[in-house]
Amino acid sequence: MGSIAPPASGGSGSQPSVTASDAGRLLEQSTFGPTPALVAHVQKVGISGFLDEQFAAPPASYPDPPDYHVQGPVEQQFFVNALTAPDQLRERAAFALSEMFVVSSFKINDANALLPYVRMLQKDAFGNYFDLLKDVTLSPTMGRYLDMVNNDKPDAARGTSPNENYAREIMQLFSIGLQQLNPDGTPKLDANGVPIPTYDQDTIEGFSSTFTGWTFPTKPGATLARHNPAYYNGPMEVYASNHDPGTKQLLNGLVLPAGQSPDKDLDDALHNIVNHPNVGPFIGRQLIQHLVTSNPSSAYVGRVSAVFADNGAGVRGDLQAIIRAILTDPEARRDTPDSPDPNFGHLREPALYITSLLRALNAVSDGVAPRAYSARLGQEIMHSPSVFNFFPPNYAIPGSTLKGPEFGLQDTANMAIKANFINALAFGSLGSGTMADLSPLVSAAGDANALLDSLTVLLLHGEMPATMRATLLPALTAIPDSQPKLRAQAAFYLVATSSLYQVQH
Amino acid sequence: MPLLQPATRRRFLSQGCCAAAASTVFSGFGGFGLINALAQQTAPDYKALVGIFMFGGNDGNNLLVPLGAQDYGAYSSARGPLTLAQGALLPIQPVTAPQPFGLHPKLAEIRALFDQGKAALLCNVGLLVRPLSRTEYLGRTAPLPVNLFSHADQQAQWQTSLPNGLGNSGWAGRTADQVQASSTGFPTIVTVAGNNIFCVGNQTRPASFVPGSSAVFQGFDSSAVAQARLSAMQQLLSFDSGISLVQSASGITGNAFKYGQLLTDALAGAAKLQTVFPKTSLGAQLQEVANIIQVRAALGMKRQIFFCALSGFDTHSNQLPDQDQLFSELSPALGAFYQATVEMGVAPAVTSFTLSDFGRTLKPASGLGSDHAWGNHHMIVGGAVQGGDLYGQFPTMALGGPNDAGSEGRWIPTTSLDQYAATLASWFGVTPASLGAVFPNLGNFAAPTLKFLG
Repeated sequence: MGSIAPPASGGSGSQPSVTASDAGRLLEQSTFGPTPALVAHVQKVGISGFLDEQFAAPPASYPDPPDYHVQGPVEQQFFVNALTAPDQLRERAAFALSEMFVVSSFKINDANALLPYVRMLQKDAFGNYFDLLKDVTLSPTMGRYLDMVNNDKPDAARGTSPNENYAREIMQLFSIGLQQLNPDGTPKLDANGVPIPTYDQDTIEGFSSTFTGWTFPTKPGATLARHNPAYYNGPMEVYASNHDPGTKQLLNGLVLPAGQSPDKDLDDALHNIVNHPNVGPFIGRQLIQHLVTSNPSSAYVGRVSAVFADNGAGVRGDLQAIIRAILTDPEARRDTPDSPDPNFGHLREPALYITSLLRALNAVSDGVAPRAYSARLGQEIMHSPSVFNFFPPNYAIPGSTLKGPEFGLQDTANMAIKANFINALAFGSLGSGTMADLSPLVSAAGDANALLDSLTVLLLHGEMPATMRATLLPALTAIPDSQPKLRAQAAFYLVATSSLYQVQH
Repeated sequence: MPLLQPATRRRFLSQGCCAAAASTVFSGFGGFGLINALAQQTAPDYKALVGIFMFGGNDGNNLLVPLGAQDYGAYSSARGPLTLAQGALLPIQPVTAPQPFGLHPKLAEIRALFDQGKAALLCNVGLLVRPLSRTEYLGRTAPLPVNLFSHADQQAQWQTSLPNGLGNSGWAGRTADQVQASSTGFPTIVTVAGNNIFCVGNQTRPASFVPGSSAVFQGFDSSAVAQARLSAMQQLLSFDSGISLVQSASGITGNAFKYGQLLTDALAGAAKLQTVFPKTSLGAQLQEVANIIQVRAALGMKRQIFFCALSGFDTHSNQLPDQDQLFSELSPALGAFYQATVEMGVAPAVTSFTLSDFGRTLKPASGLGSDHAWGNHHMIVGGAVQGGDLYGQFPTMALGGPNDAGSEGRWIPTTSLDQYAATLASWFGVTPASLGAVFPNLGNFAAPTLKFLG
């Protein structure tokens, strides 16, 4: 990287060990975007102090929408919370989890189902992974999305088998993945150098039998039936005689004996999964990718996976400890400035790109415009096209050896849409419900260099390469001093559309 | 089991009853003068492939159903509650099949095209490393595609034709690598359904367009200040920031500028197509493809590949209503697109075909759905198609039967994707000598290409 322009301003907080750049980068990784006020706050309380505060903050509200079945308000509330809620880290972590434990309105078009799931992820984001996995498994929303709800034991008369959908995806996507992993996330190889599968079709069928007999929660005043009608408040309930009583082949050679209760089968099966050695590296790596970097070193994955295995107090799966380990890791903090990793960082996905820019501009929004623009960019929030999320964790960037999950949504069409979003934000309007404030930039715009200093702090955690500055200056000085607003708009457009801003680094 | 060996084929000529049905479907179009005018402008050498990916794994067992009494009986007995009634299926009589088959009731346009000889079906095609028997599969004595039955893996392999799961390019991308580039710098491949490895070659990179969205960067008028900003924005793309992902993003932005402008300029002078497309996602995608084909000369294109997609085929539950809805979107859109190629005078130069993760179990799952399987039936549509017939080998409708990978009706493919795709690539212009470079496993199969394209 070229030489770095000095940050124009920085907090003079009581902990000088946290520079404005460090604080800005931490906030890029742990919130929906830094603001000048939060940067100053992190400099004041320190990184650890900030994380302590965030872990203690209660979940932001998702109010019941006026019409309980209409989803728009819930999706708008996601953006309202992302823009303004104090529990930024919880919201960001819950968002990451929502992209790993995916349910989608493409199949469940009902706020009634969505809200309990969103609230559950907010609650579980700082809990234990076992509880998260159990809550997800027994969520009637997930039950409906991946067909565990009303999953019947084998029915010879109708010729039906237990449904394999949830059995497959809980292993492939929510816990262990397809290949056996070393603790540092690298694949284990057999004698021929080939990755070793974690399970086979027999295992799928074992879990699909395990997951039989569960139905929607019983509505107040109703009586439990084999197939309860759709209802989403509370966990799924079991109708014992609809549970497959046979033996079940699970992971790592475990066979559940015949005749266990459905609850015992479920508990045994979830422990079988959670104790699989893959979970730490598999889940840890994806959380790193969502928060920090697309191509973490195996050492980084290994350190996080060790915390997954034991939080220091003998507890496995402590998500708070894992998130802290991810955010305080030397690789996340870029503690080797003399030999920077060229592959560090990740592309801001559309929702994050939008919220980060709006937060930088101190925007006030009803959530309508951010929701609409995110959808135009291929990320209609809570509407993933499938359980595989908007983009896969292993998306390979064409012509590169690197992974870039969010590049799954970055194509030439989306880039034009993205630039046109910035054009509207900078020069026009996103609509009456979303008001952004460029006035601090306009105030600084009398001096093009001072304007770039402000943008560097606001959008690039205080670091703009000298070459970038030298390229931007002529475009800004071409605008007369008498038009500070136009100059501020142009400068904002150029930095916000730059690849250096699009890639959180 | 009717064996449909790829023997000598002859073009199927539509019969009276079927032509009548076809004219009903396409009665909305009357611009024959325009057809002729456009046909005269047609470049002599132009071909396009249009892939439509049915994401989620289409249940092919209800796409194509045998109507012979014994086979239908076997089908309905295994399919149970997912059985389509014999009377509801749209009957077709493939040229070389001894008995009739039925198409899904919502595939009226496909059926009409089949009857006109403009559509064919390829039976039980899927990912294979080499030909595979049930015994070999059960004994694990032969190489298999990696992570069978997994969406992500099988989607990727259908796009790469690399069943070992390795490689960073798609078979369309590698096919495009083999053909002459355009004269304008417009890329050979266009996706109207987002990023996919299908479109990425060793050199080829696709353009992406979103139907209905501006592909140009707005806000740059001719003023000096706007041009200075544009210039700065473009200069920034060439800087080495020292961050790999930044360079990757800049490459995409640079292409976005170029391709968006080329297409917008080309479309500026184009007449509107008269063909009416359904107002659906796939309808809009295929309309965009037709619009781009219409300006092929302005774009300097002799060969083009397009990628479209429809999601929602993962019918673990509610298979019957969900597939009804999906085919109600698919079939009219494909019918309109074929009609648009007729309108433009390029019907024999444009071949559309379907792709999907995998087929689904013949045996139903709890919840009135079906689970992930393997071999599947696919549709090929176009003026060059040797239509009105089935190709490949229709599987025996028996759970635990000779085609089943287990006991749920997961068909072991009897034709490989390599053969399916190589047939399309070969028609498109990849030479026999180069097919192996595009499809590394093709040599494992006796017939490298099939006969469904003339």
